[in-house]
Amino acid sequence: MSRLEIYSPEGLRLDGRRWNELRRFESSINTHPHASDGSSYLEQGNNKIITLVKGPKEPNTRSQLDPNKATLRVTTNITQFSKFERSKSSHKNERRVLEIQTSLVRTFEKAIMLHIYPRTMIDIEVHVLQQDGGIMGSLINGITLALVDAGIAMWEYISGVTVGLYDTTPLLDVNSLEENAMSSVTLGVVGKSEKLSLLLVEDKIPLDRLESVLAIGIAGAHRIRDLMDQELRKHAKKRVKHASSN
Amino acid sequence: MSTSTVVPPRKRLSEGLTVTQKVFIRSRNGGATKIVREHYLRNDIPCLSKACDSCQEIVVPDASNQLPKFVLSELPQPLPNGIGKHYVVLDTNIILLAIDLLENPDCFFDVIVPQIVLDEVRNRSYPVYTRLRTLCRDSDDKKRFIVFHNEFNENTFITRRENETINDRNDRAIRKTCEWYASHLTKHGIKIVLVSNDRLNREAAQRKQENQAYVTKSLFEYVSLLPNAEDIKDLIPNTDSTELSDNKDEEGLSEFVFPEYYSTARIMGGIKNGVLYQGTIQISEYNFLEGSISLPRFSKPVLVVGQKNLNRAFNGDQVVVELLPESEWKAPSSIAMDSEHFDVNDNPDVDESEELTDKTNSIIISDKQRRLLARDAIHAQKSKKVQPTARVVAVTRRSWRQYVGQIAPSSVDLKNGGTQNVFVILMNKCLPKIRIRTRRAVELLDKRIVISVDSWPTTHKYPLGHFVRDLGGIETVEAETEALLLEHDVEYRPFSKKVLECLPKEGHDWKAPADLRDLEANSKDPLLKNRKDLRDRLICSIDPPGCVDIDDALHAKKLPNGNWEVGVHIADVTHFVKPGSAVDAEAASRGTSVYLVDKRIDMLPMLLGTDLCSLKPYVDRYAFSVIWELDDNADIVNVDFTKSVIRSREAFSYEQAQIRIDNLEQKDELTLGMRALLNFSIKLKNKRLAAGALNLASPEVKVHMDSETSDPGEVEIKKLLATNSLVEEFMLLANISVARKIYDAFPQTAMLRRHAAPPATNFEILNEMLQRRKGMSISLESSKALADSLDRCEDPKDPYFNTLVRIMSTRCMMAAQYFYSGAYSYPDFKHYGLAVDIYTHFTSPIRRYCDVVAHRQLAGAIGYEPLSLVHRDKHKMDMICRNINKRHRNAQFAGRASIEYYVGQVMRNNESTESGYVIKVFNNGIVVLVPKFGVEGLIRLENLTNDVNGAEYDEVEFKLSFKDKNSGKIRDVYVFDNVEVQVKSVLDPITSKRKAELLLK
Amino acid sequence: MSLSVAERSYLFDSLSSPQALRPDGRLAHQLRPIEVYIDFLPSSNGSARIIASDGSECIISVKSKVVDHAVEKDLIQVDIDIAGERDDSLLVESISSLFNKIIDTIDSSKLQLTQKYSFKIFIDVLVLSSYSYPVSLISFGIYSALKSTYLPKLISSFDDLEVEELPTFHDYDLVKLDVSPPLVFVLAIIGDNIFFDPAFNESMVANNGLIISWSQGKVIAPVRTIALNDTYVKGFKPRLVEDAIELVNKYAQDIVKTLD
Repeated sequence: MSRLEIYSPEGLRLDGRRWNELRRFESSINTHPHASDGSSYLEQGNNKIITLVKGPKEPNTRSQLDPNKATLRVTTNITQFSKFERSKSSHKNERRVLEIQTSLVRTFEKAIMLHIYPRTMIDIEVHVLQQDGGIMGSLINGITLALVDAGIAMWEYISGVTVGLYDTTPLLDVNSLEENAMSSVTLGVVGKSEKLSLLLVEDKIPLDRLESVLAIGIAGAHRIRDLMDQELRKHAKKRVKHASSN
Repeated sequence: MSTSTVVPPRKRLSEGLTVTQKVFIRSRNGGATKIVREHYLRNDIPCLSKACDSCQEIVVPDASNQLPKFVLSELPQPLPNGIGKHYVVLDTNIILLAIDLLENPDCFFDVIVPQIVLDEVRNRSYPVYTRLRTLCRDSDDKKRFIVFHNEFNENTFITRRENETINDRNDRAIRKTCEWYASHLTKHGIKIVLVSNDRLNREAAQRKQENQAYVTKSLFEYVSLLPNAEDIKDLIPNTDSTELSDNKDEEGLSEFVFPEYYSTARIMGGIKNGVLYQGTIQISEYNFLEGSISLPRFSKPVLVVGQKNLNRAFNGDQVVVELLPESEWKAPSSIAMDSEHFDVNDNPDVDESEELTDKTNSIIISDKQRRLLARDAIHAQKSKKVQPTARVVAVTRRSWRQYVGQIAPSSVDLKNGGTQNVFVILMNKCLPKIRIRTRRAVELLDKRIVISVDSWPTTHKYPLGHFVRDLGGIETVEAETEALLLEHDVEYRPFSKKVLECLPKEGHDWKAPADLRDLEANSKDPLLKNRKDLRDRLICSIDPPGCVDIDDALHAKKLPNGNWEVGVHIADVTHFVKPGSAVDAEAASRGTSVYLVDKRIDMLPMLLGTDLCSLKPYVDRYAFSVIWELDDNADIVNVDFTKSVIRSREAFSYEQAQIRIDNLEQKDELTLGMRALLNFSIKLKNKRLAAGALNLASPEVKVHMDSETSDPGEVEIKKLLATNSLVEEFMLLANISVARKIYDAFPQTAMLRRHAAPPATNFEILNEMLQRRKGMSISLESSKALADSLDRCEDPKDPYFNTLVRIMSTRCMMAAQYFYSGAYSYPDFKHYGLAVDIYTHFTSPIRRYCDVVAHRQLAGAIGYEPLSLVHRDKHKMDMICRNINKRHRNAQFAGRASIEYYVGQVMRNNESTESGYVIKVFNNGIVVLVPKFGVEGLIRLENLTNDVNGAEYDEVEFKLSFKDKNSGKIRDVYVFDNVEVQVKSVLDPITSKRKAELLLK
Repeated sequence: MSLSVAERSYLFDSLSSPQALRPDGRLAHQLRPIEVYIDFLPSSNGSARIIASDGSECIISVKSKVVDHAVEKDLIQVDIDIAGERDDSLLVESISSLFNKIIDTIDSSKLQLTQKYSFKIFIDVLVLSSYSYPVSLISFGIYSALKSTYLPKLISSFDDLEVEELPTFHDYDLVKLDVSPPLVFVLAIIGDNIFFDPAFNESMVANNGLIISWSQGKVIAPVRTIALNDTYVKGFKPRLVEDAIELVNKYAQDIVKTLD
């Protein structure tokens, strides 16, 4: 398999992007107004993700009640049909999925002003309809959008992206072919800062290369933040127009 | 039934970037998966022509901030017929067919390879792809090849149409690229010439464009237009489908037709259901019409006998076979047959219309019956009388490469001055002769020539090929040496400029810093502070006389506690050869130095190998040292690894070292150390042998060269001194210690060497021979048992017999191999021959690449410098191991072939009678080994007796009885018999190969 | 969401009266509007997203796999995943079993590739949100997804019993799957009246629910009853089942037309 030209001498990747280019990034919010308090639909490359945010609401059980702040729960449903080959198991309760959920909760606990919603619960439900690599970054972006749609107070946007390292070349926003061929790093970046709320390294990356990987990752995440910001502002304008015309 | 071809939408993302989807069905193992991938189209892909000014504006830098280089000349080669200045666009078929021609420095300049073509080439043949990529990378000024990413360029990308095959779509994409280039470059007066051997593609191109914006030519037509066409025409590959000549190649066809290969669907289904088998075919050394395939399901190789059943398979091809019905199973042939003596008088122009009745095709066997057949076959192998046979139904991977051979004189029409078909007989006798068309047939007689195989259509009895170049006259040293290097795929061209640029700027003046704490030196080399200064140790090296690439040196020093400090110091090659550099890539690809009788092909450039790395005496050199503390029993108390700087006190030859040690007058510290080393080495060796290490033998001989004329003088069997074993023991010890260390540090990717225990079947025949003839046997229970049983194989009347058995056992052993530790589980790391649990090669980094990797891993393990990712990646380590295993094997073969050639030259002048041993008996001949020259040869029955039909072969007793030619009496020859043979060297009139010819006295 | 006793009583009275009036003004046989999107999952062989006017939403993916039909008997498999419900919950299991039963009515000979191999179709249903019993919505979704399903085109030979071949497929062309998937209707019985596609509030006062499957012009087994709430459930006259079946037979064809 590695016989593919992952990064050609002419500087092009398998899908025709250059090393520092993001995939197609299209999002919309408030896609499921009936089913949730905030929702988003995100297509990042061929990743397709629906995110529903329910809450802040009364917790279902007492164990989920915290008198000082809101409790955050993330459920990730990776559908059986999300990859090319249908998977035999429904990924629920898989270790990998549980890990993803825990990392997402940790990432967003820092970003949401949980303290202003004491004794409540914020329930985030993510459905991955189709995946094509770098799924973790897309999950972060989908959740950020849905949280904003739900009107939940956050300190900053969190934008996520996965960067691969091919020999010595960092490749931004890897797709599944690239992800399988190299080690990669997923970043969650806080707003336009260089602060990371998530850093996932799933394979070995030489230390001396990490810096260049992070640099392009942060730049890519900032670009994603701007794209999300645009979408939110566009949506807000539409709503305002709608409201004023009524 | 309606079909759907959903046209994927294109979506503009930003200025110059558009995205679409690539949809296709992947059929694999009978499944079908719909695959959808994003595909981005862009407007910043330049034409890379120096003439173009607009593309300079659009280029963007890559990840290392480099802008693309504009390569194509503004003044390309002009062509006649009103074409003028031109660039060439290549179609896939041309590259696959004629990569040699494309690499030729005298034609094909300014060539555009569309990305779609590159992709197709990669899918069809990865080696050709690599060569093409190398051509693009290294051809900046001279050849000027570029890759144009037409699939990612929004101007040249096309969407597949409904009911369009993928080939048609790709051909259309190539034409679109030509159109774009043609219109892009019109104003600069540069024409585009599409070279394609696909007639339909050419016609489509002509139909589409009445205005002839670009020109299309077949390879032959294109070459004909070149100014040096006459020289190049001979090099054009020979295929049936090319319109090489319009008079069609009809005389080559005949009624002889090979069976067609099976369809992929049939092959996949058959393999999955266990009725077809895939494996690598090995053609018998003694009979080119008999092949065998080792298959996991069968305990012994399955035979493939006869031309039709071999069905165009070459030695080493990966093929798919199916079993023949039981009626056609046979005993393994005991006939020897060479391709060169078979059908000698075949006319290359007329393939004989031989009526081969094809029984197998007329019987239809269902797969259910085939499965029963397979069961019978496995059963039959155990009973051993009859062997199941099979036939080739497909070739999945060709082993074709360039071959060396010579034109069969009988196939040449001396009066014909024009182009004619001739046969080329290859040096490798497992291969069939090749039919080539050449104009220079007469001129090339008596020359060693290189040819390339192009195709083997079902209608041809022999494969088609084309002439590549001539190496020189037969039996000239240059031609023969080059021929054997080529035959063994040894890279012998001088190191490229890029490689030489990696060497230290100081050249031969490079010096190790006098003081390791020197600030300036430290600032240049931040790792210097981790190096240990061992210049006070009394180190010396012991090597064969005249050795210039000194890999290793040793020292021993008595410690106050009574133990000894023993150090092995290995040239620090990795200080100069950094991972990822051009010199590293070259060394990795060469894998090993190759030693011929009169020549050494280096793995590393001379400057490193014989000077800067070589641990020469009296100068400071960097080394990688393994230092043990040994007690009196030679048990390791402690081991330490360090990069160091050393100064060797003396470079001894084995003999000099032996003399110095034996001379009891010498009482200086260096000699005392050497004596200690010798004592330790004896203890180490005894321990090893006690543990079951094998002492095998091969008939190694050495050719003495006359120092003045460099003509080979005489042949001598290699002598071993105690000092040989001294060095060897410590190298083994170092290798074992290093293997443990790097396996500890990198459990998944440590570079190791293993030697598997031989399967009992390998020894079956030898054991039976021993049993029958001598009442002895070799035990295979363990290496210890094997070693002991070998010791017992003594014939009191014949001291050489034991060595003979060892030589024959060696041939039954498995080959040792390099591997990375993740590839096997720990128990399989075992080195059977050395009887150790883990082993690697560490001690010869100047001449072996494995050692280079081991050095880097050891440096990583001791924290000297971080290990490159390349040596931490299983996949990449796998590639390295495969390559060095192959190179190592080739180097061994090349070395042996070189000796064989020189032995032949020596014997040319001295015909003599020698003592030899019968090592194989066939029903039409015997194979005799002559220990003095290390040669073995087949003596055919015809040369043994005048009454061939009266000869009797007894396969149970390994006996051949015949009426002796000389005495006229019946003579019985058994295996292991000591016989007097007349040895002379003859030039085979058909193959022009000099061989030792043996005749029984 | 719950209704007060007064609300429920009003609803029940108006829906059970001979001149029944539905709260949203629909006629008894009218369905609520739905939106259907197909083919939005390119990596599946067929897909549909179906949204009801109350915000109930389902996503359906159809994927295929080549199987040896001597080993694998069930060539169509439906998996239901309802957000917020465990896979082994009663709701999920009952809906799953219903669909796996009625999907058997599809003529699976259409899936045969060769003597030995067939396609197996996996229908994955993801119910994102639902406010009334979702079977009807799911069946419409499956219908749309199957109707827009394209399968790889076989290019190796059909006869592979004597001489085994692995099926190979065209690398690009797809063939439309030609099947008529069944539909499932939910009807509420309130008093002596029957209503198609009860909304949430209608379900709350239904005396009983009927699940009726329909395929190719006629009602097929199974026909089941279902309790739509906890308080109003009681028996009903058998005649009503006949009426309901008649009603389905009368209007189903129109619905198919609309879906196509």
